[in-house]
Amino acid sequence: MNDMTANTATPGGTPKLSVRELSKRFHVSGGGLMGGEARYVHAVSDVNFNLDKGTTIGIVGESGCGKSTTARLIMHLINPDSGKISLDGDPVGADPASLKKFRRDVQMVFQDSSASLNPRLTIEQSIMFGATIHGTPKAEARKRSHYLLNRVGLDPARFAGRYPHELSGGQRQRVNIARALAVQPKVVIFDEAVSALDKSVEAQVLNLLNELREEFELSYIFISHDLHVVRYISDTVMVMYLGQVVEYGPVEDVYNTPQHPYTKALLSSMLSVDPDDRTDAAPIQGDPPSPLDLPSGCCFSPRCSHVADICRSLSPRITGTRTRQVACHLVDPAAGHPECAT
Amino acid sequence: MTMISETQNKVQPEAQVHVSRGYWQTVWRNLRRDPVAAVCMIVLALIFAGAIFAPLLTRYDPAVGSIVSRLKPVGTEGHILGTDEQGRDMLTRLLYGGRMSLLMGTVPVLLALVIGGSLGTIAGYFGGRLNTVIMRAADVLFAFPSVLLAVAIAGALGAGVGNALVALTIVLIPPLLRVTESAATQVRALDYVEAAQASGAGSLTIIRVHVLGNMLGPVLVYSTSLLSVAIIMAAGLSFIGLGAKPPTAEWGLMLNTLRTAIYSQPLVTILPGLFIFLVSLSFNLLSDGLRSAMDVS
Repeated sequence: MNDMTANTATPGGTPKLSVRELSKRFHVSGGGLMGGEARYVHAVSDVNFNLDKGTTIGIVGESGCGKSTTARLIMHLINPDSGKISLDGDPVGADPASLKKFRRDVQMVFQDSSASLNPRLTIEQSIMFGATIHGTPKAEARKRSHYLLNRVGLDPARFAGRYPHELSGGQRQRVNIARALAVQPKVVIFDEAVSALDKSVEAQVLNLLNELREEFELSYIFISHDLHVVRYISDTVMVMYLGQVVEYGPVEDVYNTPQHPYTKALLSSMLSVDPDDRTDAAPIQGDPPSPLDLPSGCCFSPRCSHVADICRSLSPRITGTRTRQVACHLVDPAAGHPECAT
Repeated sequence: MTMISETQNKVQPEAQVHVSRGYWQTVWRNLRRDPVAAVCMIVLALIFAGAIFAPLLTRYDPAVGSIVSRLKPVGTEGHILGTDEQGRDMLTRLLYGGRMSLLMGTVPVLLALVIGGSLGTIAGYFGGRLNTVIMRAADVLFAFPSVLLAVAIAGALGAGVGNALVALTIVLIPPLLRVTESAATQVRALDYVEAAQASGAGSLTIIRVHVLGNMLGPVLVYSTSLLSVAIIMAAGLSFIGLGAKPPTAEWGLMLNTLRTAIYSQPLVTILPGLFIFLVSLSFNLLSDGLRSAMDVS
């Protein structure tokens, strides 16, 4: 639990990466030349979190809950509608130069290991690309790429000159990790980066990630639908549902004493190794409502087993302390109060 | 033994890096191993070489004939492929004619590839409004049948090789624009382009390093097949008098001037057509071969 105390020990210090009120909606139809009411998908609404140096925040939730969109918004691969992102206190996105610097400091590893490598470039060229963009001389970039290949467990003599299709999925994902590290970032975002790997390879890569975090003093944003993996690698966890953060806190706190009904349902769907813990009952009923047509009030209310009248009419604010927050009327009766600060 | 260990010591660690065969090396190897494509490449190489080195291969002047030796049949002493209606050596005319015909067939494709290709790449990569503007403009040109449009433009500009080149280029731009646009749209959606954006690279660098190389395949296949169309269209324009002017040797024009002799010397008359056919067919089959040669992982 040392990581957690480290996480809370710097209440006054500037967090490495700070995300404030990040929101994005996508226009779906209407409102244009043809008239009609404009329809939007609220992909991400009002996401806040801090990421301290050397720590990992896990983002969990079911498909379509806005995890990947959050990652792309942070990288500015999609432009956010609103929200402030700052790194070490410097705001990002105000001008192209700050964005370029930010994109060296924050890197991303994608889920599809083969689609995220250019098939016409050798492994070495792919890893070198980012570094040369930021002005690193070719020779040094090559040296660094060989060092990193070694570091992620691939022999440069065997792999540097190969093409992506000659590698296995696990090897390719190691290359992607090396590619992300080649620009010497401070934060790395993993968007389902280990989800496509088989279990034994996944475990190796996770251990590698932990080692690399220590060695390069990195912070991670780890997006996954696999709750076990997130528990293993994260210090803090953020649970998302339909684009909103429903619960946030130190990973062991959230896993041991979940407060939001959605988090509870999600955690009870985890497979257990203990046969006595197993149950046939589905922990959560139905599908999430269409993000086009969100229910009034709490967006989890149609599926919630503890639903009360207020849940159907008023959307709960996320409330709590700096390190532990939840958005639920049942947990905090003040959550519905419009004056309530987040 | 000492020699071996010495050479081993001299090898730099960099040189020991295993380098796999690149994509284009593999494609080239596949293409050479495809018998049809190989034959097409040889035929095209021979015809192009014949056109380029025409002055070295014949002692006649393509524009000077002899009134006494008109319409000699194929196999005549001194005129292997006979003579035309003005007594000019057919082999000479075909070789020099190849210069003009191949020029008029290939240059418009290259120009259209540069213009249409860059517009298509921009439209596909940047998308949005820019894409709409470029693609709808191309649709306007697409609305006309291509041969008719080429004839109309060449007719409006006036007969001449330069004007025919302009007309053919304009006609070939829309299809190339559409193919490059769809190729660029596909590539730009892939994760490695997003990863390159995330590493802070500018759009031009990303297009140069990551997009162009990956959309080249389909564009190259399509351009090769367009070459076969362009050769026929160029010859067609000259045939109806909108391209090369007499006494220039050009295959389409030769077909036109020889057509009166079709009953007296049918074999001589069809020779230019045979060359047009050979070049067009070879480009077409080569395009097919290229397509299957590129079908590698």
